[in-house]
Amino acid sequence: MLRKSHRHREPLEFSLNITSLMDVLTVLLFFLLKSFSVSATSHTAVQGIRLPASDVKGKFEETITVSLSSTEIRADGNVMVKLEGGRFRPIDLGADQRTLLPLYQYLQEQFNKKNQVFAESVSIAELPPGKILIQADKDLGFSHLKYLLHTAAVAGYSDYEFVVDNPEDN
Amino acid sequence: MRLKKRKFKLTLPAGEINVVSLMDILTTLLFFLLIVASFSRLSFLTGSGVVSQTGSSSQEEMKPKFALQVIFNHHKSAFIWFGPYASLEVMNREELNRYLSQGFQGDEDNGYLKKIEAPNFQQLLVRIQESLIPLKKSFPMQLDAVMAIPDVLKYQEVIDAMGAVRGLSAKQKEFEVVDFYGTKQLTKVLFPSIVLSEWTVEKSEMSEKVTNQQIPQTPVNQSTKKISRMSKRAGGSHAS
Repeated sequence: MLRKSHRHREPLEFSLNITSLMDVLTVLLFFLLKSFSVSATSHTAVQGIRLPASDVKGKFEETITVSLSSTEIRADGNVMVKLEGGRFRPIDLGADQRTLLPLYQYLQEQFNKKNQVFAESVSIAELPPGKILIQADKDLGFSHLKYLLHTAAVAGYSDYEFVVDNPEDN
Repeated sequence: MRLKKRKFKLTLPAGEINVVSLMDILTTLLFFLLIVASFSRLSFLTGSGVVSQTGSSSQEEMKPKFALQVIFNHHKSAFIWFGPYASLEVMNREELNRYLSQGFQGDEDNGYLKKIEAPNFQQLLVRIQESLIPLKKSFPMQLDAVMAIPDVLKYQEVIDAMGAVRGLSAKQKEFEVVDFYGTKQLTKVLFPSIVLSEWTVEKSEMSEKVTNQQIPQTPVNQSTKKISRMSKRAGGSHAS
């Protein structure tokens, strides 16, 4: 008489070897730790603008950002001036045919707002110039840029910071 | 019966290190860094514009000032104008006089002008730097330069020009400067404090005057007048 033997089936054990995955993650982690930099400000390139390349390196400071493309000028993300056919509209130019009025008004408001604290003790006209961060397309001519520079200088922002792209060293 | 000597090999109990929590922390940190990582390589280049001169006193106006202008005519031609330096402190006046007598036109009281030409823009910048190095050696503490830009230059070219006037690139060799204390040092810094201005003089005027070996007063004065007009306008409109 055969006995039915009840084999006690042991549950299957499944093991996953994640040693190599941990190696990869650890290397990635150290790489990111090395390249991570803590900065109070962050700047992203505006769409439609190709920045010029330069070897100069500098740290960004918190300031007004103005971007100039072939179709518009933006200040802190807001459209200030639009270009038509690659030219500024006469309605946007001041009496000197050089100042961009919407941009000038915005920059002057920001300048006065920023220096309101000192307005009681000193005239705003005597305060040091403000800094302005400029992003512009590298293929634009100086003929367009000069309007932006003049308007910024007239509004009190004559300390320019031109955003450039640092290409990798060959 | 002899007792067998048994050699007892002392073995440590198997140890375990629980790395589960460590892995949790590393994984969290990894995902955080992945989220905030930015792979853009943006930097910035400083410059300044013309500002109002309404605050200057008569004493400041009389004080001798170092004046250096780099005037870009177009992509292949530029001028370097170096202002009067008779009353300025110079590192080696004889060496400077010798350098200015070669290739420059003018004199110590009125200033000097040099025309630089090159087959392309990059070589023009290199030749401008070669001309600026002796001036930097003579005035090691001076940092200011004015750059006059024509409309024909593109923004990338303006940035390249500013970088060239600020200093030599990483691939270029340093040069030696000696300050007034006698300290020698190798440096690549030229004139990092740049003031931008506009240049709109007719090309024919400039080339004719330089060919005749005369100091082209008109273009330089026009540039200066444009700067002063912009300053007055800037001062007046800003004050209002």
